[in-house]
Order: sequence, then structure tokens, then C-alpha cells
Amino acid sequence: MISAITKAFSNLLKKPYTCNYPVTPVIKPKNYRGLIKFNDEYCIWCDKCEKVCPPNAIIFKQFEDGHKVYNYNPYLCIYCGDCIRACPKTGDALWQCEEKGLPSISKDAPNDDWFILEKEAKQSRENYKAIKAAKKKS
Amino acid sequence: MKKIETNSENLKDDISAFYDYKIWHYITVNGVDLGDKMEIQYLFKKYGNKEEVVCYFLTMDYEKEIPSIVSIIPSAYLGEGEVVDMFGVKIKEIPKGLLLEEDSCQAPLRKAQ
Amino acid sequence: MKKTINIPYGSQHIALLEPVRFQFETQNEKIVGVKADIGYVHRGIEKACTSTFEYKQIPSVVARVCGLCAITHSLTYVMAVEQIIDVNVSEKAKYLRMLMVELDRIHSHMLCLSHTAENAGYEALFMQIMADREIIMDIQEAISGNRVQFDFVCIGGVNRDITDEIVKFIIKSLNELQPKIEDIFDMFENNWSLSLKYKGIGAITKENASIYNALGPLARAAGLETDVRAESDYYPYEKIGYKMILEQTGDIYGRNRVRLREILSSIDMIKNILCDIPEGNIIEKVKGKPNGESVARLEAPRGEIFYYLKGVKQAMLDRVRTKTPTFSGIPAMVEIFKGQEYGDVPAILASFDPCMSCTAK
Ligand code: SF4
Ligand code: SF4
Repeated sequence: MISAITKAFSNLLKKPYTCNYPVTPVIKPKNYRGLIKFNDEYCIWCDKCEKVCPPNAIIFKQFEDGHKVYNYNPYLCIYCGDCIRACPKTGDALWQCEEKGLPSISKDAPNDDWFILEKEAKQSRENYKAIKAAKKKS
Repeated sequence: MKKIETNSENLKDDISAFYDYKIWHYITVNGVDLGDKMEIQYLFKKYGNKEEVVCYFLTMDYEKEIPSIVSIIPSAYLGEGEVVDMFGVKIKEIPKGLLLEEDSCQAPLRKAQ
Repeated sequence: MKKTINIPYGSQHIALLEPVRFQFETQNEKIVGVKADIGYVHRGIEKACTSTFEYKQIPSVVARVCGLCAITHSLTYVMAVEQIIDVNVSEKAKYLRMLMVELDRIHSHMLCLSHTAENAGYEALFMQIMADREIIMDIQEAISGNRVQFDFVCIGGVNRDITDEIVKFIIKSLNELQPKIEDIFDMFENNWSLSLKYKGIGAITKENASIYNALGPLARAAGLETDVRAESDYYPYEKIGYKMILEQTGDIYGRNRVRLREILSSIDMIKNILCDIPEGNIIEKVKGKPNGESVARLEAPRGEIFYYLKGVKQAMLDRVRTKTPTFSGIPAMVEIFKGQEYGDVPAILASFDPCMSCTAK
């Protein structure tokens, strides 16, 4: 009881325990799980990362000439790192950096465009398949 | 998991012959949709013992009504309530509405829907 | 004529942290009847697990049932899956899993203790415990790479290995934490004004605890010997010095004591784990699709957590059933409230450590 009282009074003279974020940055431990980074030079376009991602935060859009474009939504990503573990080219094509994702403001509505893109990507795949099938026939 | 079959007529007798609150820890009531009928499972575990989980189960048609075991295990009303809500089955004296509201979708875990 | 007043407590209440509603029937100050309504935050996770996500993705999904038990949910699920697809996890992965579970227990118990202090009107103690809890959060962040959502376990093992640097950091931090916990223990034990709020209040007998299937610290405070750590041999808990912690009083004071003593014993266990982590792989290859039924149990901070799975040789599971500790604890809680004074409700409720996002899932 007495030690508790002395502690309570000594706390008055101590600095606060919290830090003044975002003015003072928070120190992150090594290997903090942050955003996913991608480099298309090394990617072999196997789509494995897209398939394993639980919230569908990676989407490849297919173009008619055969090339694909990588899309990543940092607001949907849960930083689980499953894509990194699935990728055959980890480190070169896809890696996780220690940078923290930024919060979004509802005004930006980043996910609205994303869901449109998701549908488009799906459509683009089907179109590409149809084109390929047509080529084979002819 | 050790499974023991029972049916809706014998359920209460079986459970009351088996269950002693000093020995058995009642885990929960669980429902599984088999595609054309329901399987209802009653799961128990012995206190302070490394034996397997014991499961009494019965199969029933969707429309049938089964008795409730609340009179034997007073805390079973939650588990049964959840099965009633999630699968839309009927259990005597267990009302709907533990987890779902009236205007939300009914019986979400039923396969046909 | 019997005159009673009905007082709703929740779903929004100043001393309530979670969306639950209790309907108290009171006679003067005494509670004579209780009804609980728990369905405020049902999110359909079981449905999502069987209709949207493949079985390999579900560990990340069930981790989000509850932020406090993130590790126990995904771990219990993973244990159940491993049984149906026949993966043998290495000893090392088992030790790392136990390490995370025990860390989780410490920080969850500290959170509960701080809320019990706050709801008994002791704001300063609340702040102090929450500040000390940061030590554990930092350890977890160092191990898993994230403060709350660990995504640490996966089917077949764990995702990240532990380095010597982290081991040193953990031991240093735990040595720092131990005296702080002992200080808090002293406070809960000897502070006179806290004892007025805790001793003899919200008590349950051992008999009632087992009739209403109480679990976790709630049951152990009443002397009921139930702890999944002692009831399964999946993890080598005996090797690392596990002892069941029991109190006999069954009141808030007893529950606090159980939690404090469990924190201390978890600290010891973690030190033992770190001493003898075996060598080996952290992850095994997983092949095949789940086929069959399985159940898994684990001792979460609040009590037994239970998963039932059924797979039909498809990537999507047929049924996922989650039974969380608070869900089974509700009948015992309702029983405890009867006969108590209405003014004590906040402190009693906080001492149950209820987790509603788990309960309604
Ligand atoms: S880290 Fe997880 S959520 Fe994020 S893109 Fe990779 S798999 Fe998807
Ligand atoms: S898994 Fe790797 S190589 Fe394959 S598509 Fe994704 S980034 Fe490219």
C-alpha cells in the first residue's frame, strides 16, 4: 500500500509513457510486416500470389496481346505474407518491405475503384481465353 | 472423437443416463448439414482426463422437431439456440433469434440456400 | 405485491466495453433476474469460411474473429486441419506455438485486470497495467511482425523463425515485467479500497460452476479443475513446468488472483520454452485436401476454445464450427449476477473478461 502511494506520487514527475505520434515516429522492430512490393522484371506471371491472397488484394489484369498488369491494394492487404511464401521468385519479383501502410480517408474510397477493377480483370481473363480458343480453332 | 448414435426419441434418456455434471464437461451442440438431412451433435469431454471428446449424434429431417436437453444440461440453451438460428431446425422450447434478427437472412448455413 | 424494476444494461453503456445487453430485474438494489442478449455483432464468419475462403486461407480469417485471441483461434483451427490432412508438426514449431499462446495469455489477462480495476473505479491502476502490457505487445511484435494480427501459425507449422536476438530481447523484457506484475499483485492483494469491491462479490460455488459449465479462470477461481492444457497431450506442457492454478473463493478477488498467478506461471513457462527450443524445421509441406471430421481444443486466455471441421475432399470445407469461451461462459455469468447488487455489476462483468466479438462471431 505504501509503496503504491509513493509510486503514484513519483509518477507525477515522470515523463508520459506514450509517444507523440505522428510527430515522433514509432520505432518498428526488425522484420516488421509492411507493404508488398513488386518488380515486373523478375515476375514469371504464374498468378500464385493472386490465388493465395485471402482478401484478394493482388489482381492481375490480362491484356489481349498476352501481357498482364499487376495491381495491389494496400488498403485491402492484411500483410499476412502468404503471397511472399507462395511466390517462386520471392525477393526478386515480390517482397514485403518494412514500410507501414497509410490509413485512407473515406473521401478517397479506395476500394470502390478496386471492386470495379476486380470485375474488369475477371472479364479480361475470360475474353482472353475466348480469343485463344478462337485462334486454336482457326 | 468417439461418436455414439442416438435418435430423437431416445436422446433425452441417453443424455441423462450418460451426463453427470461432476464428471463431464459439456462442450457444445453442433449442427452439420448433410445435404438432405441434418446431423445434430452433442459434444462432451471428461474433466481432468486425456481421453477423446465424446459425441452423441442424431440425424433428423429438416422439418422434424427434436427435444431440447436444457432440462438435463441447463447451459445448453445457447448451443441449441445457435443451431436453431443457423440451420432453421426446430427444437422444442428453443426460440429463434439468439444471433439473428427477424429481418436478416434466415438459416444461413443451410445448404439448399 | 412484488415490485421489481427492469434495468437494461447495454448494448451501449458507459462501463461496458462490448456490445452485449443484459436485462436486469431488480428489487431495490438486488438483482433477482437476468436475461442476456448476445447477438449484436454476428458477422457470419462460419458462413464465410465455408463459402468464400479455401481451407488454407482460413487461419487468417479466423484470426480476425477476435483481436485478443488472434493466435488461439488460428492455432485451434490449424490443429483441427492438421488432424484431417495428416501433417506432423515438428517439435520446434510446437514450442514456438506454445510460446505465442502463453504470451497471448499474459497480455489478455493484463487487459482483463486493468478493466476490472477501471470498473471498480481505479483509473490510475488501469493506466498502469495497460502501460506495462506494452512490454508483451512489443515482444509479440518482434516475434511475429505485427502487434495484434500475428498471422504466425500456418497449416504445417509456423511462418517465422525466432532468432537469438529476439530470445535475448524476450528474456530481458520478461525480467523487466516480473517485478511490475508482483507490484500489481501486491496492489490487488493488499489495497483496502479494492478489497471492498472485490472480496466476496460475484461469487460462484464449485457446484454451480460445474452445473453451468463455467470454464477458464472463472471456473478455476471456484476450484473447478478444468484446463485444456492439462487435458490434452498435444503440446508438451508438463515438460515446460505447467501447473494448474486454483483458487477456492470464486469471487472477483479469486478470479483476479487466478489471472495474476497465471501470468507469473506463464512467465516461468516462457523462460523454460526459450531454454529448450529444439532444433528442426518450422514448417512442413502440406499436400492434399481435407477429408473427414475432426475436433480440436485449446486453452485460450478465457477458457476452452473448440473447433469442429468437416471436409469433403474439396478446397472449401463443408462445415466449420467455432465454440468460443465466452459463449459457453454466459450461463454461469447469468447465474452469478442473481442476488448481487446492481452497483457491483460493472466490476463483476469486467472480471468475467467477456469477449463479445468471439461470442457472436
Ligand atoms: S500480404 Fe497477404 S493480404 Fe497482402 S497481398 Fe500478400 S497475401 Fe494478400
Ligand atoms: S507469385 Fe511471384 S512470380 Fe508468380 S505472379 Fe506473383 S509475383 Fe509473379
